[in-house]
Amino acid sequence: MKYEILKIPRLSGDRASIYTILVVEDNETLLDKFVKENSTDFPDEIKDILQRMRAIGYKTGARESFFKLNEGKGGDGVSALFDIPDSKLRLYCIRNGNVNIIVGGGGEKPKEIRTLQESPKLTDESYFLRAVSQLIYGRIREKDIRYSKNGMDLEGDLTFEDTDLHY
Amino acid sequence: MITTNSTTNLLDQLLDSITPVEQHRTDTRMQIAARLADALQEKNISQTQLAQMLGKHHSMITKWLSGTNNFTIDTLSDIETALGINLMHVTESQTTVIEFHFAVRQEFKNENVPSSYNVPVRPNYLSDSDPVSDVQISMKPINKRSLAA
Repeated sequence: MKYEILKIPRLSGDRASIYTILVVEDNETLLDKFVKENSTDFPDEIKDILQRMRAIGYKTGARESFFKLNEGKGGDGVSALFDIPDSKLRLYCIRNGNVNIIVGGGGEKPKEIRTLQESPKLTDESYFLRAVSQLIYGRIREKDIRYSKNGMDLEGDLTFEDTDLHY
Repeated sequence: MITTNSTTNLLDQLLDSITPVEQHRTDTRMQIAARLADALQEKNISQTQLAQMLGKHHSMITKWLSGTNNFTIDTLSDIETALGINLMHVTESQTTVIEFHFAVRQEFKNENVPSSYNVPVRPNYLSDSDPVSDVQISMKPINKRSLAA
């Protein structure tokens, strides 16, 4: 499958740029899928998550305390948007400092699930983002991807395929 | 830079359904959390120390800083007192007003005094290559005695 990292204009402001990943064959982004999969059962949570992302983009930036950090490995930036107590959803992202996040997928996180490995859906989403993060940092090292002058946007080769990802 | 509107109709609909009041509530919560985080960093106070100062569990401070907490006035007041900061008056941005005061003096023969006059102005924060703006000044004749005064 082919993917493309895309900026979400409606969530991005002068404090942070919010990106997501388009699954080209489906013509749907990971954020679109997350919203579609959960907006019926958890409409208030989905709305709250969107409001928080818009606040991050326009008002506050992507501060560390707004996220559950270290959901990936070795400082790869994979995090989850902070889980409100009693919330049912988890949304993963790659946090690149205070000014850029790449929103991935997520899903339902019932409270009885104590560890990530007990939820195949969340495990898949997390490991996919870890691989994407590894790809991005590799391309930054090779100068195939660079940050814009203000550090908020990604420029360069933002497309990739499954074969480019290493799990 | 690739900037594409990737949102689906559903995402657009949900974003459209968020009222300004709802967004403002979230913005305020997150701005208060950001201000609290900044204060802790400036004062070199850890979350654990703040929890001890206020008699709260550490997890409560984490929630405060997450931008999701619906603070009560009492809680905000307690934090403000403990840290000596202001959390409740969140300003979005500051507007700087630059006011120019300058004197323009030109003598005309009485019969030729125009009602207004364009003066080229180059504020000192502009470089020489920046375009000069004309400021239109209304003219009001004054006599020589008052001018001298």
